[in-house]
Amino acid sequence: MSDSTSNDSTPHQAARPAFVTTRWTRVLEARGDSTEAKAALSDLCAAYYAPVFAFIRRSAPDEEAARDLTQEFFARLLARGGIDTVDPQRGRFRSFLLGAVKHFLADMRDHDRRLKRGAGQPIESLDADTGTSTGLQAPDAKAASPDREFDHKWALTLLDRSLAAMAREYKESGKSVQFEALKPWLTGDAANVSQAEAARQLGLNEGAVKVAIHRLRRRLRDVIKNEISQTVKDRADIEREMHYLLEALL
Amino acid sequence: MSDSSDLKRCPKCGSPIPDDAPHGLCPKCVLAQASIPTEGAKQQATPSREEVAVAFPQLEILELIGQGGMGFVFKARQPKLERLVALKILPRALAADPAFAERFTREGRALARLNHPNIVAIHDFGHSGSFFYLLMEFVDGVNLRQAMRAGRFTPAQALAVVPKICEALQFAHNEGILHRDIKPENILLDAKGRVKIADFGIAKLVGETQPKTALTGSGATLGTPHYMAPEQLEKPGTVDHRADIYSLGVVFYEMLTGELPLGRFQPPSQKVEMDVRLDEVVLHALEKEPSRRYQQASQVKTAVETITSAPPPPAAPTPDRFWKRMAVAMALLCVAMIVFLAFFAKSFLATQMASTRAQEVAVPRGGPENDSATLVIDTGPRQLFTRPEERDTLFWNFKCLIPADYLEQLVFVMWSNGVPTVMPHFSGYLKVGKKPVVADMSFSYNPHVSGANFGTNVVLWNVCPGFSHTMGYFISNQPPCRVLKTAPRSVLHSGHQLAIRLAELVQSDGVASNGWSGVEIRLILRPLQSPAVQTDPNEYVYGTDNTDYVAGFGLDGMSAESILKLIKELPCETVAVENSPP
Repeated sequence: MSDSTSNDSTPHQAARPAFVTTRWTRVLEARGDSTEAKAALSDLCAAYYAPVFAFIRRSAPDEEAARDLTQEFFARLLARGGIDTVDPQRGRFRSFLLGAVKHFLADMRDHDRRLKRGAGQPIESLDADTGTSTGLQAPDAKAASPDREFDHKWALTLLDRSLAAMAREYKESGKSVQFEALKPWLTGDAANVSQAEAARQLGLNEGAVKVAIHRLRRRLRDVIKNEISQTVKDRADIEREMHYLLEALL
Repeated sequence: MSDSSDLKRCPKCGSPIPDDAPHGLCPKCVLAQASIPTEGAKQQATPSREEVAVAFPQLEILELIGQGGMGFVFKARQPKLERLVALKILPRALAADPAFAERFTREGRALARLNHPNIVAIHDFGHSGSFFYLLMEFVDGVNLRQAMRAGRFTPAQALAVVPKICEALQFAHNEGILHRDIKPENILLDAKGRVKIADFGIAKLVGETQPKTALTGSGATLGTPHYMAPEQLEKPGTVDHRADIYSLGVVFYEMLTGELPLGRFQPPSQKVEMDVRLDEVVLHALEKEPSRRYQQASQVKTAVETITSAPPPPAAPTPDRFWKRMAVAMALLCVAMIVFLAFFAKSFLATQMASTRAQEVAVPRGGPENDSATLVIDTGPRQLFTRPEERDTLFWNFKCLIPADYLEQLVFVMWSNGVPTVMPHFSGYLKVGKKPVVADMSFSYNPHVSGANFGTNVVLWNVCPGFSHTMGYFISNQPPCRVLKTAPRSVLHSGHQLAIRLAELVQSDGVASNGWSGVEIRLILRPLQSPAVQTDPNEYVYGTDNTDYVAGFGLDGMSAESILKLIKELPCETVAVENSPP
């Protein structure tokens, strides 16, 4: 977790900062061509390593190869500043990174693919016995597409970072116990979880627990929005990106 | 992605919590909760009953019965008329806008004119004390949200409610009024089971007046994003009555399944036991593109009523649920097919690569002397890609050469005991212009290998993972469906049709006593009546002069009835299937 996220997000901060320059806007403005921009891109890449790895893993023969390819991808991206081809209007780091990794994989497989392209690839006809096929297996049928997996992993990474930041904030203000006790309510009001029990555990009355839960939720929303803001160009995109990522999880 | 039962489940939504869930919390519920604005409505000071009583001396103010981004609602009594009313107090911030009073007067009159049994009547509106208010009919009952929470809803009940909502919407739309905030909270059910829609037009009235900053915080515009049409979120300026139809679709889906249609959602029949034909109605209302949706609320009503009045499908002695799922999977196949057709015909025209294919089968040209399309079909493993897990996947492979100046329709038909049902929304068509088109397509239930071998290019196209998953799951897990083997090659003549049977229900006694049950695609080939030009904004247009070919979804403007008639009347060849009764 980088400095800027934790610095501007203490639990009881009164005023929210305006939409300041974020890492992604910094990268875009400099088109990758400044020390600051490179540092910003590097931060972003470190933060969202997991989705890239998940995406590459889908086409790599094993974990080891996927890890190597992922390293190679980031090394190339960072070495060339990376974004000289990105349209600054496009605005989302997530889209940029997915596009870049696809491009990278296409490059890597170019030779391989040319071999597979051969014209007149024979069409194997169906074996007579399997025309009616009750016993067919669908080996990979339930797996998500690589793009979807990338988005899914991205959303999980975002949540992971946000919750980790929250946990740290609460710890720093000596409220770890409260965070641990109340975090189940971050999923909304579940009928079978008792606030009274949490109140008893924390030595608070139920009203105070309600307020604490409300604050916890509001804080998470802010932290998530802040985290997203680091990866989009416009403030207006934050809400949209949040909905997009929510859909990716469903 | 996994649903094995020993996983920990989310107490909120009941879905399994994945191993990589941050902090062991259900990620989708956390993000869903975080996406709801927390500030806002609750921060608005609730006017006290006394305060309101002073401003409305002619009313007995009884109690606060509702509040939200659109204001506060008090139950009240008009002593003179001896009736109960609902008094809606609009947010105070509105009073700050000097232009609001005029707009309120103008729009209030329009709203007060909405006199319909399924719309909450507005008795009066105006400004009193420091409040803008609407005095409305009091509905003694519950809203749909409360009714759903109470678990009172069955699909049959949902089907009784939806046509009433449609009537109300159609009536209001005819008057030029959009609701803009259709959601379960605004649909009221009174003690006698009557349906009444509340808050027509209020979202616009309130939303356009409040300062932007307040709105972002209050959630008034974002209010209920799950029920809002995509264009409402993306291009609020362009919204028309079809946004209400989308919201209705969300409510319909929720009534049937208890869940919201978020992300890549499943058709309702996969979630609950219900008539599979309703899937199409719900999905059609939920089209993201407004022009692909039902265009009128009355069409939704007609569609629902047609289904409720006709006998339900598979009365066959079958695992009903599976069959419904299969039909939907097949329907999605058809959609995927149209997309492919569009895509590959485009590639063809762009690259002229089809010449290699044309050597195998002479490319036909339009006209009476050579008026046939050649269709080559094979099923089975076909190696498009080299990943080992993909080699055994079952494919339907179609290669179709369609002559110039012809229309090919692909109609998805579901048969139940010999009775066909056309599924327009899953069907599509292709109008070929001056050059013949070669479309070479492969479908499978494996998302990674649906694609096509085209010319010397291997194109992989992950078109429809939802379809693929559904398909893969059911083919591999549900034995009573038999995937049919089709003949390797067929010729489809002009004015004829070809029935490609994809799968059939395996009857438990091995005998189809009441006629065939299964899913098929009907290909109909006819000369084009008019040139291949785009007539619908959603058609795909390709070619060097944009008239080489046009592809679209649906039935090319025909009704399902007229297509059914064609299907019954046109000479038909059924592509050979094994063990299938005629």
